[in-house]
Amino acid sequence: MRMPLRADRRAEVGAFEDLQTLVVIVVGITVLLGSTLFNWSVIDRVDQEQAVYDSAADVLRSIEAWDRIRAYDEIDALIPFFMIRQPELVVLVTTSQGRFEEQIRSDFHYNVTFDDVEISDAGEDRATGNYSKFQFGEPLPGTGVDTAVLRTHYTLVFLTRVGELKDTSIRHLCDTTVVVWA
Amino acid sequence: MRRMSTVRPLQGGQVAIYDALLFLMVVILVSVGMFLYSAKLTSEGAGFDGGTYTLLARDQLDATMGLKVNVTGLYVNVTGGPSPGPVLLEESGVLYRGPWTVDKVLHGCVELAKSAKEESAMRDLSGIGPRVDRLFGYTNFNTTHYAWAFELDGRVAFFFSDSSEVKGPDDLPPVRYGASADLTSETMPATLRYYLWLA
Repeated sequence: MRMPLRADRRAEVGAFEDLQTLVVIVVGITVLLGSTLFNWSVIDRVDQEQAVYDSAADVLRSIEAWDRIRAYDEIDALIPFFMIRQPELVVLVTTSQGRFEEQIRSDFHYNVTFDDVEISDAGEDRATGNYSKFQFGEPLPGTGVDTAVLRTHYTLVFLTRVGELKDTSIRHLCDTTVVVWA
Repeated sequence: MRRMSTVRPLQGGQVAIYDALLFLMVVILVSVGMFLYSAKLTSEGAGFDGGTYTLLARDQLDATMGLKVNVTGLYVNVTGGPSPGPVLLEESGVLYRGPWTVDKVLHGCVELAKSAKEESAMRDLSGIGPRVDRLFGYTNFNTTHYAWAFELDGRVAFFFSDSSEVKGPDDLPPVRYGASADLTSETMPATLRYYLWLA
């Protein structure tokens, strides 16, 4: 039995009464699908770009969470602020190559540079443990590659020995740059 | 005689067309909504979030606290109390183990201010600010501005910013990120605050 609708003129629920209406429906669905796909691709692209930025921040957090490079004072007590033990960076770039990358992982490519602000490239003397820069990760990409760059500062704490006593009074500012790319 | 109806009933075809137009309207509304949403996302673009800037603020505070301050020849003038006169900071009784870092110098300020309060004396700590300002200046980046505020006993003992428009805590922009270190010593409240905002 047909339900009476709209003054009982045999109108039916639904729009497939004639070809014209069918065309409207098909066009509507096409527009809906098209706009969904377009917007989806736009949002997906922004999400992918955002993931690179988030990864740069994650690399920085991972560095700060790595106890091996944290600085100690002259009685081997952990310094309450996050500071980097400079001799440990020397070990990582000389005798423990790859250790940094094993510890600091990312889904993207990254490069981390610790730049000792107080030692210029010309003033570098590796024989005495005075390094100007410490680089980890992959070589920096060429131009044309979109990168997320994050810069911050840390304090590098040096360690010298005077007889049996340790001296951690030498402190240098370290300009740290994290570059991440897809 | 039959009365003429003023409302003409709809024909089946008309109902179908109205249904289709209604459907089309919904389609257009949904599509426009999605376009507006994606346009908003695109205009904002990808970038670092507030949590990252807070992390950077914390880093700047930590990095600066560990830097060594040259306290050679730095006097603190004492007026009133049992022993007035200039006192070398290094010999002021606030000796710490290890090097004189920003952290320790500021702790020293707090201890001196506390003892002055207890002895009803005045200690002029203004000479310490310029020694530390140089180290505060290291936290400079092209894309951000920064400010330091050292609050001692409820007032700002010194304030330092790289922006000429920000001369005190009241001038700080409303959207900013920050980190602070509590340097309170017993009855003497003290806090070092670092502020970071986008240029």
